[in-house]
Amino acid sequence: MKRTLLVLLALVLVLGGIGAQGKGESAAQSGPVTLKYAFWGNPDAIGVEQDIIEAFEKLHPDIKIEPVVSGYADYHTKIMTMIAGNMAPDVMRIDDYYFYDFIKLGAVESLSPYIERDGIDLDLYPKMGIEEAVVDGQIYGLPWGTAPLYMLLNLEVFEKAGIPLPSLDWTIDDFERIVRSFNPKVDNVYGYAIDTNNISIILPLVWAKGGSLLSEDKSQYTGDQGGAVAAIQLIADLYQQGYMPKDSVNAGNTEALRRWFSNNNLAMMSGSAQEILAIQNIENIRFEAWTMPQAKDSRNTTVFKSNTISIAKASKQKEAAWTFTKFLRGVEGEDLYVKAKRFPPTLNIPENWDHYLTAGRYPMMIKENSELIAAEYGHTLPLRTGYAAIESKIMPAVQAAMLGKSAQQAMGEIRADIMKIIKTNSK
Amino acid sequence: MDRLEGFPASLSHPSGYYLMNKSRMVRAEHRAALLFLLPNIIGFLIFSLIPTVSSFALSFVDWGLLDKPSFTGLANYRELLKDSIFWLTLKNTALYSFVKVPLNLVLSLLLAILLNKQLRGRNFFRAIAFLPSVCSSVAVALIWAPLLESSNNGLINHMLSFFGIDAIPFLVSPAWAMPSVIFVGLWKELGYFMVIFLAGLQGISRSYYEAASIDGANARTVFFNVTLPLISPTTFFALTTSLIGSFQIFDLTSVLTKGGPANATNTLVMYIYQNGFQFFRMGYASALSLILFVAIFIITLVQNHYSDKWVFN
Repeated sequence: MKRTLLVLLALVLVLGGIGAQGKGESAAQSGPVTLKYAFWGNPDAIGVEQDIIEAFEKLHPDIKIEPVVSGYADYHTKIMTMIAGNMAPDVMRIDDYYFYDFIKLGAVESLSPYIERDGIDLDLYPKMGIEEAVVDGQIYGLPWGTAPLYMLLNLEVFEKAGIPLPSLDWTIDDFERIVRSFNPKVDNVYGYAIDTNNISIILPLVWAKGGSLLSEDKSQYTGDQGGAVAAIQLIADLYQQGYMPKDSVNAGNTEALRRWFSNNNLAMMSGSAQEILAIQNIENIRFEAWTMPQAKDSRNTTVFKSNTISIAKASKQKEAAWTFTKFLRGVEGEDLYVKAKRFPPTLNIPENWDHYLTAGRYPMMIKENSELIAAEYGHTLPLRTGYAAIESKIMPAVQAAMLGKSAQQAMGEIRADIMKIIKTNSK
Repeated sequence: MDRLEGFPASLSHPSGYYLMNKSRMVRAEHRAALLFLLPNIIGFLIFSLIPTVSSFALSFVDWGLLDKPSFTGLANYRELLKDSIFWLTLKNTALYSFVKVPLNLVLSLLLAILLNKQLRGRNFFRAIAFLPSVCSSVAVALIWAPLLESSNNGLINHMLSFFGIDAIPFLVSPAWAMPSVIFVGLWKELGYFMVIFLAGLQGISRSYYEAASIDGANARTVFFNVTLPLISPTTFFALTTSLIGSFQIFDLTSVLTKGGPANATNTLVMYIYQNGFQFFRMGYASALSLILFVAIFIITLVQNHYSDKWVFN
């Protein structure tokens, strides 16, 4: 028996050895450098990335790019597992929801030395995108797809209901009045709907009520106080009184929201640049990308969210990775993204809007409104380590409030859990 | 026969010589068997045993996947005992399993009995019934989500409205969400277990039924005293695999309800996934996994223990 076990152990070691030897050989290969570039996306998005990769390889024939693609749902898990398994991609896109966790775990290389050395002009990038990429004075990535989370307005629904569009300076009271102006029990048209999957959806209303979910320094939970409770109670009241579709409480209803909006059953919903791209594919739909309702004394209520392109700390080809990152998030890369209409322009180059906009295509005011949001109405998310864990406590509490619990009780019950997450993730 | 020189007395004896040869043969056979089993053993070691043991070890550390694990003793288990979401997900998982599995067994057996009869288009109906089980759970959830919408936009509620029935909050009420998930789970798995039961039913010799018929047994007696006992090994297999599978429910709830509303359909595996791969708490996720492992292990042991009483071999 002992001998059998020894034979088995030897076999496992030999197999492991073969694997390790293979890895060593590939690292020692000479010739063009091959970089692994990780990103998420649907087939359309993958096509755009492929075009950008080809353009880069033409300019840099000594660097080959190997795409590592995944759907968004499992993307960050996959990347994290790759890094843990010593197979880290050299360049990777990271959603800012997870960005701070990646930095805390030491997965990301600081780009500050490269930026300083090459004199990269950071004014080219949206200010809020850069803010999200900076931790302890170091820049850990260049912003990608930085854009507002707009309020999308269905123009046809507003016209049919005889309700004028709100101004860009509309308040939370205007918002409530408009939602209550619709009569869904009669005509099956709702003023507003949400999916309860994401803090970003409810935060604008929390800010508009003068509240917040985390303190300024993100070290305290404030979701059970004043403005936040008022905002959650407003959502709960609108829901319980039938002004929002019953399925709004379902976190898995993103596709349904888009369907209701495009079928003219819904006047307003939150929507990212990605959502706009999907809605634009629906024929004859007329819609606008708007600011979020605001507080009487504060305009900064529209979420301005970013992602980052970062270099893995474990990358063995950091110079080549930096060359590719510079291209991807430089003028050339941005131009290709914008021409493909992957997202609205994110660099401060006004002419890029000419490539993105198509005459007669909605939302027609996206340029003006996006610039306004960036300048006056934008607000970054309270991102920090453990953000996903905090979100996983807050959203079920919001659902509980929508299902009848008082907002004060629902948001108060999770205080201890959230403070524990904050404490654990502050080590 | 003379004693063989140079050999011990026992082996120099004819029977000793035979014993030595026999033991050599047995050893050779063992080696051959081991060689054939080796691919499976290596697979089991790499993909099952080592991860299970590692997971057990990880449950005593705090580890964020990329940082250095730090030993925390029983801290993860102590936290788990105080974690209300853990208890809720355990309750949800048990509810899903203990309601869905009996329903699954009964309905798939009835379906198998029905489709075991000489009906017109029998093969067509068998194929239709089996079809959902070859679909991935994600696809099934994506198909059912719009059908189960709670407003009249949902197909089922739209149809119910023709009969004056108010819209049912299938996926948005804590009371309805779990039954809806169980229903979709049943719809997906019924065909698979129907095929298992069909195989069991077709393995019963006609002679039992003929004997029962001669004895004057009615259909009910035949079913309870002949069919059910004779397919009991199949039922045992279906019960065990269905229960283990149900305890691992993840993809269906993950897409259909994302564990909501208000954690009403959040399950243990989903919670393990969240802790491990969204919150990067590998130690805590491992502790949760171990609880799931122990729960499934105990249930399987109990099933095996009591199988002697009702499984007819």
